[in-house]
Amino acid sequence: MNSKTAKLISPERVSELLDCYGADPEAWPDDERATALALIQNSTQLKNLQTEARQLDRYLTAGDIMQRAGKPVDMKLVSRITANLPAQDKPGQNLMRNNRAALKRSLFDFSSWTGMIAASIAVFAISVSIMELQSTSGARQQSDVSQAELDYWMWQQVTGEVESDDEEPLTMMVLFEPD
Amino acid sequence: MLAVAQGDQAAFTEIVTRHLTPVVNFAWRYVGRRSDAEDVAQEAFIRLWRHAPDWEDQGFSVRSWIYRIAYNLCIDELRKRKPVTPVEDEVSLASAEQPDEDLYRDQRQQQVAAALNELPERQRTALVLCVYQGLSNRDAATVLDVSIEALESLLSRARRMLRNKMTEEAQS
Repeated sequence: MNSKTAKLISPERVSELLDCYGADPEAWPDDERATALALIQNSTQLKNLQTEARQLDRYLTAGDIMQRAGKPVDMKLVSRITANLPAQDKPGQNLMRNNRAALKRSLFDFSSWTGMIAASIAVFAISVSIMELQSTSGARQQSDVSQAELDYWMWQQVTGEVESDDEEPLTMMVLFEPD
Repeated sequence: MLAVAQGDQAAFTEIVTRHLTPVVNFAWRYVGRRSDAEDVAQEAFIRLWRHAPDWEDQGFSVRSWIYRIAYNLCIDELRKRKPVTPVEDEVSLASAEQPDEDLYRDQRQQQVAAALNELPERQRTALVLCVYQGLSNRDAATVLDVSIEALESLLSRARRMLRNKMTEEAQS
């Protein structure tokens, strides 16, 4: 680690490093190691934290059950793996397969379906609202037209511009009856 | 790995030889039986071979990539079935033929293994990768598909829980 790549860190960060990675500087991130070691050297509190972390490291190391399980490489297994290798993918083939799998997963994923259902309900509700608005507006327009026709008919009756229509509805006639 | 990506079987054999034992041991911690762990490792290396032409696009180190494949296979395996034999039992059985002088060490290992098994799965994996498998924080984060900050959070919580456990054991 040279000083050019060393990162400036605070004592709190050193405490975090001990908390996450333990007491062994080899386990710390490369770019923080040198500064962390310098800070520990100048701080009793950090030294104590490192001692505490070392106790846990020992506990973990002593408890590694694989110390007994570890053995030299099993060459029979190596041969088994390398004996019948399948054909390699073409470049990009695996990525495409992953993308297809992701798409398939998303189609069968409950959460995405929930989202789609919610979106469908929202779209349906908006459509119904728009249709409702249109029908109300249409009715109003129709009602406006009827009013216009009525006004025109009244105008015709008053001015006598148009020959009377015997088949006018009675209701229209009633409108002109004196009180 | 570039040679493997171009179909070089000798280069692939070298990678298998270098990483096989740690990958088997890693898988063994999850699946509980050595034979199953070997099957997981075999499948992981075959997938590494098959997908090798895409290795550069993934942007992972070979080590983190093989662990990532093995980890996902272990999780799939555990979803399919419940672990039958806790790994510590099987390792003890395997070593029973060669009497262990240090009974205390055995007990300690059993205790720590039990404490590790009590950790949430992601915390345990983070710890196993960094402490026992010796992966860098970047590689371990890649295996778990999390940021380095998230990995540190997992490690910190795991160590805190274990510290409490260690204190309890010391007091009892």
